[in-house]
Amino acid sequence: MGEAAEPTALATWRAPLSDPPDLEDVFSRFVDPVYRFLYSHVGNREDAEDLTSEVFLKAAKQLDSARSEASIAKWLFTVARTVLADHWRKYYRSGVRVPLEDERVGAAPASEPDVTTSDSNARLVDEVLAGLPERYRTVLELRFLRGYSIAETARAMGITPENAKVIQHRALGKAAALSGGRL
Amino acid sequence: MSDHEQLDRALDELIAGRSPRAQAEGLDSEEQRMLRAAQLLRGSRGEEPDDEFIESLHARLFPTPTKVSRRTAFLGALGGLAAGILGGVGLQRWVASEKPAYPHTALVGKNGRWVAVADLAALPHGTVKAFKAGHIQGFLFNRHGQIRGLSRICTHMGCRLDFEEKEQAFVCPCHGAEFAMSGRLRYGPRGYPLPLPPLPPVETRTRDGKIEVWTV
Repeated sequence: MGEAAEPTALATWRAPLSDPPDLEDVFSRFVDPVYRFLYSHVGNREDAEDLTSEVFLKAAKQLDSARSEASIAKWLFTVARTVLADHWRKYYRSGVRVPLEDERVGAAPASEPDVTTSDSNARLVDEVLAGLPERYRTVLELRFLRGYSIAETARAMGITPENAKVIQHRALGKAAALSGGRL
Repeated sequence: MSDHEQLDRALDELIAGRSPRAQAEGLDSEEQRMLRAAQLLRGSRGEEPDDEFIESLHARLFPTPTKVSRRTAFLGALGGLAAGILGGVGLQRWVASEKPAYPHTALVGKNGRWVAVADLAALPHGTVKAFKAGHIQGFLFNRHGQIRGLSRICTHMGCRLDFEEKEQAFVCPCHGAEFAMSGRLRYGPRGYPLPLPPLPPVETRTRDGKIEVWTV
């Protein structure tokens, strides 16, 4: 690592999976996109880690080495969606719709496993935010995109913490309504 | 309007990076939908798995310790192959680096020089330091003893990024783009139709207790 590196075209080149693919290769290749996919739905590290572990523990039992690389990607994301649906069912009992049929998140990783799988959700979030009144949007951005506390959000907006809380609740209610069946 | 006390606790857990599931169970269905909207918002930031998590899951899945992991052996073999093609230029670095999602290129080509910018002792694990050296501005940080350098210039319109400790992210004051510590785009700028390229890495090395960067 002594001399400076020249930019190398190698970095863009992706190694194929071994043939037949073994689980360790599959893990190295897909742990990142699977984690990102799950994180984009649950929005916190703890759940994303638990669910990612579950996906690969299941995969370890069920990996069929006769599959092609593309079909492994597709299958892994199917496992991930099932694990996610179970998660919602288990902890969110009141019949929240399960995004099992979300074909947008299913399609991308199958062909392009390295693509940021949260892209489609990012677009949905953009749409939802764009449909909100300015103050609602600001509260949600500060709280959930920037991670501000209620007190910090209130200070940034020049309102009282109580007020920030009320706006936050209304904004989340509106956001939930706007994201409709996709949530 | 009810005061949503339990929902508030769930939201605080979420923002702290912890699971809100314990609180979620006690919420009514409208509140659960609100919580899930918050989770979706939070999730849209995009986040990379922690190195430590990957290592521990790997150890759980492949419990027999092998001297050379298959991945290393595989990359090693690949290295040998590529060395033949490229004459070994930059190879070690590529093999050692994280898998790039985009065509990463070093910020400065071969006509640079090494410039000392910080004391190694002043950059313990988890800290971030901004530097200016020659024509480049960047961030240095230490992750588990590994020193890394990244450009400090936003890949959107060229503003100088700030480090936001709470989010462990590099944030652009101009249009709000946010980059993860790996340099990868995490969020925004809102309304911009294309994902921004990652922050280019800055080459670093340590000499006599000093961190040096490759610059022009």
